[in-house]
Amino acid sequence: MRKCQTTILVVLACLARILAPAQAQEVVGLVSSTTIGTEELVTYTMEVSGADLQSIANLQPPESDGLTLLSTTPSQQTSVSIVNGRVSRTVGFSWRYRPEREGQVEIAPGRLDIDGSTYETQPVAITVVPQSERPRRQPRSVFSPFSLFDDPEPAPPATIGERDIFIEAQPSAREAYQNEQVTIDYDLYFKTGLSPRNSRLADSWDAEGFWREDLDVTDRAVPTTAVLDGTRYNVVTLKRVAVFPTRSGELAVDPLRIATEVIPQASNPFDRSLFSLGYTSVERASPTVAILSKPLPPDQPSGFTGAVGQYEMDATLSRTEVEIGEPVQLDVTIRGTGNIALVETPAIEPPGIFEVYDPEVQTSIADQGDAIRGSKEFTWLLIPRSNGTFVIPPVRFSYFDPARSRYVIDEAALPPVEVTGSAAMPVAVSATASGFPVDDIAPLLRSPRWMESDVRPFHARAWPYILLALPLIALAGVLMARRRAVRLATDKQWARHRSAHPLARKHLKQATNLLKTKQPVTFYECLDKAVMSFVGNRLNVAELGLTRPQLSDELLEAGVTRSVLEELLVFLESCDAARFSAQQPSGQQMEDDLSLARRLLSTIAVELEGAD
Amino acid sequence: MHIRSALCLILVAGLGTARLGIAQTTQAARLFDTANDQFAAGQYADALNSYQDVLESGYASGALYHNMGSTFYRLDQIGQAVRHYEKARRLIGDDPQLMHNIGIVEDRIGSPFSVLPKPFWHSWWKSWFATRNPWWYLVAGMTLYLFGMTLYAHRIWTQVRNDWLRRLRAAALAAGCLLLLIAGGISADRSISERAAVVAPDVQLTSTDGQVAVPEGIIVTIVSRATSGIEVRLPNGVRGYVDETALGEI
Repeated sequence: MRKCQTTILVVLACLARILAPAQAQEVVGLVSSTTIGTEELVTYTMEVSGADLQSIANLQPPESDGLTLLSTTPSQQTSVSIVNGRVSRTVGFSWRYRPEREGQVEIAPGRLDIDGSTYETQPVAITVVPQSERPRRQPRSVFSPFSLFDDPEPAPPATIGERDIFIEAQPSAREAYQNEQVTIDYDLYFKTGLSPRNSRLADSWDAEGFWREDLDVTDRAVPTTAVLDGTRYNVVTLKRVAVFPTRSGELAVDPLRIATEVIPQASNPFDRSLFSLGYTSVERASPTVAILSKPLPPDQPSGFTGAVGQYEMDATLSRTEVEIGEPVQLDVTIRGTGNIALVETPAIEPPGIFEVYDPEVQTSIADQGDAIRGSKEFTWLLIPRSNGTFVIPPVRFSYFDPARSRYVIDEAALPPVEVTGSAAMPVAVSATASGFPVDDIAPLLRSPRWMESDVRPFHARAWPYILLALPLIALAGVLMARRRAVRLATDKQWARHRSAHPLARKHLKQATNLLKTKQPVTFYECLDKAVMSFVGNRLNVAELGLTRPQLSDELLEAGVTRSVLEELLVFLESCDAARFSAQQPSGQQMEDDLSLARRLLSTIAVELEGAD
Repeated sequence: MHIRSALCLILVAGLGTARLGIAQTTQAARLFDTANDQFAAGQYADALNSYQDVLESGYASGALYHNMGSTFYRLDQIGQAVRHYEKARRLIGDDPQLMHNIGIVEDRIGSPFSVLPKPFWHSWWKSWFATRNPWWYLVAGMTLYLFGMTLYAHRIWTQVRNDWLRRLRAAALAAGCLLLLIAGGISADRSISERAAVVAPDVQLTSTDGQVAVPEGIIVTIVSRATSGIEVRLPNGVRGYVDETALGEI
């Protein structure tokens, strides 16, 4: 058994020597505890990895402030480990310090030379507290390689301190443009010797004011190691998220809060039953991440829709020679790093003869790695409806590149499309119940009912209103005619009065005709009738048998002047004389008498009207 | 003799006018057929010019406006397509083929505006009267009106009272007046343009609440005209001003 162990150690030593040059050299400064009591000692170890002992020179204990170095001669330890088939060798040089006072003390950076190169550790701050307030220690293992330097005093039961396990949030940037991608890593740090398990979110996590995309983190990540403030930690990435500020200003990402169970891991597995009484539940939260979101610069180019990142675009046509009605596929692909999901459809402006259908959009997002990247493909279907050679303008895509702090316009030119053929009506894939194409307009109408295009509507013309008014006017005429007829039938005086003028005109007309035919007897008879009937009708007296004195009385009473009356009587006498004498009057005499009759009638009418 | 000569002159003039009208209609029909053939050949720009020639010849029809709307649609001028389809609608009403095309265009526009409900009588008027030929209503209304007036004149002249004649007279006059009102309403409805289509892309409506983007092809109601622009009402009731050149009256 012992021989076997010796053989294994020899093999390991050989392997370590073989692999030593390939291993990276690293020097770190570790302390046994960052918080100690006033009566405790602290051990500072300079741990050198990947170097031979012989190559180390100028090793000096680091200076300190508030601590007293107990011995300048370091204790030395060498360890060889094989992890996942990888052999690593570590040499440790340890010094012990005693605190001089309470409060913050510091161990300055330690230095040494390896193969002529100087290496330096980070300074370590230590908090010295009263002895009664010192933190509880992990039980010391008898098999610990550094157990000789541990505090020999018995320690209180182990507790999990805030710095034993915690979460760090590491954003890729503290300032970003609006919509610029910022990656945040949430790393769980836990001291070597602690074994967290059943880690889970203790509270909801939110990032108000951000669009966020989770990046893939390997579920069973192998912890890495890191030294922080002189303490070695195991580090596991819990969450990686890409956030995109959706508005400008001071924005904050909520802390990531997890609950986990931790068990202090003893160096010796056999100690577990004695010291490890079970897992302890702890809850840790990362600090809030503040990000200053800057607005995008002004003077945005036309067509800019808010894309921020690093992109490239290409555009292709499926064919450049088609028949009318055959589809042409236009593919535009935008790929790059940024919020690819929110990249909007670029505008295309094909000639109007192309019927353009809404594009199909396919988005592919890669969430591996340290940033969101991917591609978005837009596919349009263009159907030409006319023949000829047509040039589709270049497709333009504008975005803001935060790395260059300027807008970028990407253009993709397209070849001209030659459309041949004719009389291509859209081919409907299916038809509606009425027989029309489902996704296209119906055929033309071919049976017009012509009308004058510039004709005035009839409501704006005059004749309809005249047509409407004419019956009303006619109705009024009928009404008046009816009333006149009734009065003519019932009012004799009015009827005779109304008929006086027409009857006189009728007789005068007859007399005129008789004058032409030279019939003096009948002529004067008509003149007599014209005058007498007029006077009789106007005065409403029977003219037949009316004597001259009666006539005179009636006319005088009606208001006719005596001179006119005397002239009338003379005229009537002359008429009688002409009718009954043997000597016939001359034509001139007859004309004079006709004129006299007219004048007398007018005069009498005027005087009677005046008297009325 | 004079009356006979005048009648002959009127007859000759009437026949000449009718012959001229027939010749013009024939020319319009020929242009219309040419435009249809150009459309079928995919020569949409030429087809549109031919349709415009028909209009300039002084004739129009619902089919002409419908086909112009389809031509504009093929030329990707959605606003003008909507405008001419609506012009056709005023002449031929809710023709199924026309309504199908209007639906296709509306789908393509994708109006972001909701539509306020119309008054209760609007659909009733549109479905019953607005698409009919007003001349039939005018002729029928005028005939009944004259008949009723004649009966009334007969009543005045003869002074004969008859209940049946009185009822017939009242019914004829009432029906005649109603038909004449409908004819006037249809005529006014077709000629008074209070709607317009947005025929330009990226039109901004300036309202009291700010700017509103109005897509091409949206039909608006004209409220008033001012030097600063035309005040219109969107389908959702929002009012504002737009540039006159962005509108095409229906």
